[in-house]
Amino acid sequence: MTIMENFIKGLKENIDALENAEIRPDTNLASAAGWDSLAALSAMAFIASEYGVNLTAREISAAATPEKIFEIIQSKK
Amino acid sequence: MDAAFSLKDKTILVSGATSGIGRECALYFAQAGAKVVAAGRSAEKLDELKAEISGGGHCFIQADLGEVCEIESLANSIPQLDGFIHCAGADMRMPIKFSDRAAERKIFEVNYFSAVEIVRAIVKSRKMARGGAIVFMSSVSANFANAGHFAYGNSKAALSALAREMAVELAPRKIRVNSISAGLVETPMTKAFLESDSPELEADRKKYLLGYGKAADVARLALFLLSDASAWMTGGDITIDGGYSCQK
Repeated sequence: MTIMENFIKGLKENIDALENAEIRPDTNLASAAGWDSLAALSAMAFIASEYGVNLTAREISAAATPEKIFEIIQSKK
Repeated sequence: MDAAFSLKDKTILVSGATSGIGRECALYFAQAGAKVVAAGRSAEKLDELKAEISGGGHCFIQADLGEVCEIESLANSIPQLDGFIHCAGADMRMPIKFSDRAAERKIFEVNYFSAVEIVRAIVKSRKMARGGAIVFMSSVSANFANAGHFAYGNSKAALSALAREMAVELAPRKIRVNSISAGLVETPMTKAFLESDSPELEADRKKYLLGYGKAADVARLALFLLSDASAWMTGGDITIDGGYSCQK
């Protein structure tokens, strides 16, 4: 499993709104049915606990896709 | 102005006095003639408050109300009081599956248990004058849910309940106890949420018919509840939220 596949797997496991969605590296997460404030909070919490990086909701919203979000995570590590 | 609306010569303890609503209360009460006992975590911010506050006879106590030993130390330092407002507060927005007991306990320590300990100290040492008043800064979150806000909301629900319970216990000594359920007030504590660009922020903002609150809006209500103007009020909870909770 690639690093990106592993990241997407983590997102799907930890964010209920993404559980049954098809997520690719370039998928806009906010387009997933059920994406809401709880999903955004869960994304922030998952990234903080798994990667030790604190992202804001604004950063996640602006990055939008798993690959862009992961780029920010890498740049902050 | 009716003298009952004044705090002249009253000594008022303000917890959380170095920031947000607590700081505004300390400054506003001093303008209304009170001697303020300001308790806060930051020595630097206490110094800033000291430089800005009007009038004399105030005292400043450094204490981190998230730490039990520091609450005890604060309790021992409290002079004879006519009023106490508990503004110390901590916030946490975290879904339950990412939260843990230690983080939730910390929120409860600051928002709820520190109020309990201070009231216990005041009551045991008889440091609150007959006719004195206690006010707890609660929140609309005590009654309205927001994603990831359960620890904060639960701690504020406990605080509102504490006001009712203490109203009953302290009535024989004519000490009144009320709570204020405030909506979102623009303070350093809420700054992160207000600047978060969270998906819920825009929807949340629209619920506030009069916009988000300012600390001064709440301080004026707090003054009323600590003054003799509210002499027949105890065990109550007043909502001040710019219209947030009046809609479906």
